[in-house]
Amino acid sequence: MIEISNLTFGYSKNQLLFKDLNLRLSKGHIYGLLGKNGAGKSTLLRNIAGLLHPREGHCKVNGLSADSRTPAFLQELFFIPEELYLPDVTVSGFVKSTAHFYPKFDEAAFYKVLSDFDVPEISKIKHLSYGQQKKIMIAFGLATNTSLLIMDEPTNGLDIPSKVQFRKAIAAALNEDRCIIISTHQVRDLDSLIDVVLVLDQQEIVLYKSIDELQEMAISRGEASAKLDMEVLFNSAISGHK
Amino acid sequence: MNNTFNLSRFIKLFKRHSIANYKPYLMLLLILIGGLSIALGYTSMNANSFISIEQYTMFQLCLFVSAPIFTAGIFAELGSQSKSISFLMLPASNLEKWLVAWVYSFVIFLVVYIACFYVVDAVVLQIANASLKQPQKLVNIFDPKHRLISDLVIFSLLHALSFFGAVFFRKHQILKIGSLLLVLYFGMIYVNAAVLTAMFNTEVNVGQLFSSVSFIDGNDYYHINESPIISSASSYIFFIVAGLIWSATYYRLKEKEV
Repeated sequence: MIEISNLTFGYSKNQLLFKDLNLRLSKGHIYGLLGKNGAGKSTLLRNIAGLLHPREGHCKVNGLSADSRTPAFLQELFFIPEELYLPDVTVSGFVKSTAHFYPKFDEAAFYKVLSDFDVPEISKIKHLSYGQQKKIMIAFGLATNTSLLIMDEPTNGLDIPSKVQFRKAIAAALNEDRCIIISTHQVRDLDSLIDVVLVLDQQEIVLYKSIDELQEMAISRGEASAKLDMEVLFNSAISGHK
Repeated sequence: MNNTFNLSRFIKLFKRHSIANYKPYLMLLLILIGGLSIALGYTSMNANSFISIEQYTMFQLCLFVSAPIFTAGIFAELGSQSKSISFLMLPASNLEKWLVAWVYSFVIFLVVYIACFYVVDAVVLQIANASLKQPQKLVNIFDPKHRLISDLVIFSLLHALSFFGAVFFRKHQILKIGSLLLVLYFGMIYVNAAVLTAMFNTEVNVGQLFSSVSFIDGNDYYHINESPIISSASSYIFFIVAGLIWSATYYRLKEKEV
């Protein structure tokens, strides 16, 4: 699904963010990309999406190079950035003008998620709050049914009930043909949602394990609690106590 | 799937661009009509006779000023990070995205500009003819004496430079492109005059760039016009340069990072 080989990237030649990074992500999983501010989460996601070009190495999604940003590549990838932009049209106007670029777009699913999020359909997008605009983008991203959905800090701006709704919607949207990557520094927002944890620290992947593996490791160490605390896990990963 | 160009995808993208931008474009249309009204109105009031050459000069001047201003904002999406991501991640090819911007800023702009010019000029003439001894006719911009083709070549070059700047600069595109054009223009005049002075070994009066030159040698005054071959060749060269800059814009868009 996603193949990152020997990725070397830096905004300047002298200050590299990634050096020979290798990573493979497969379909049917929700990956949680965790890391402190400035760890390089957004940069990694933008490399995967083809918004940044590596100095060396390559990123491929479904065998297609991210660099090229061809329509075949783009119609199988939806990227929800932290700071989003939606045009000055109504919700239905946005769907009419944009949905047809995604061949597997499910309009009914879009309005269903939107209704679960309590976002009024008839509103002009610009009149809605940041949180509501984010919900439209999340609903749209889920409805595109692209094989890769990337979300950068998607829970920023969402209230607590919406975060619960967000987790439900994401869990329902996952299938065997889809890979979802969620990047956040608010690790608790991903509790009971992700099935693979990736921790990025000081430009390196310091942890890449499934939740099941982590639970087994915890049990083998004699920690009785069956439920992993994402915040504890994250803190121990970045402090080197894996 | 054709990853380079698909007509149906291009039409969808064109429609999407129109829906998303019709408000700012309508605003710019009103500004253009206002600007033309001021320019033509002022000229008609200050001229003894509002003849076709004066009308055409205003046509040229307003075209050369308004085209770079409009084109500088054609890739406004690339000015902000969030808009850039939305624009670059839309499933259409770079060529289609480039072409939509080119069609809007070159073809549609030119057609709309000419239409607006004629509407405003007709209204201004109606008013001006009331006070003129000899009523004047609407200028025919396609009349060969006005050399519209040469002006369209200059328009193409200005458009190409602004088009490239619109992708190259992240912010304040209009200011940066305007400054760049002024520096380029006056720089070329300066270099041109310096080269010609060195060639003739006397102070020269340079007319338009790549056109005539005049100088005084003793008591004799000389005026040298370029040959018609050079004149048409320079038009072709300018157009080829414009084409190269349009291509460079495409590659710049293809490599754009956020």
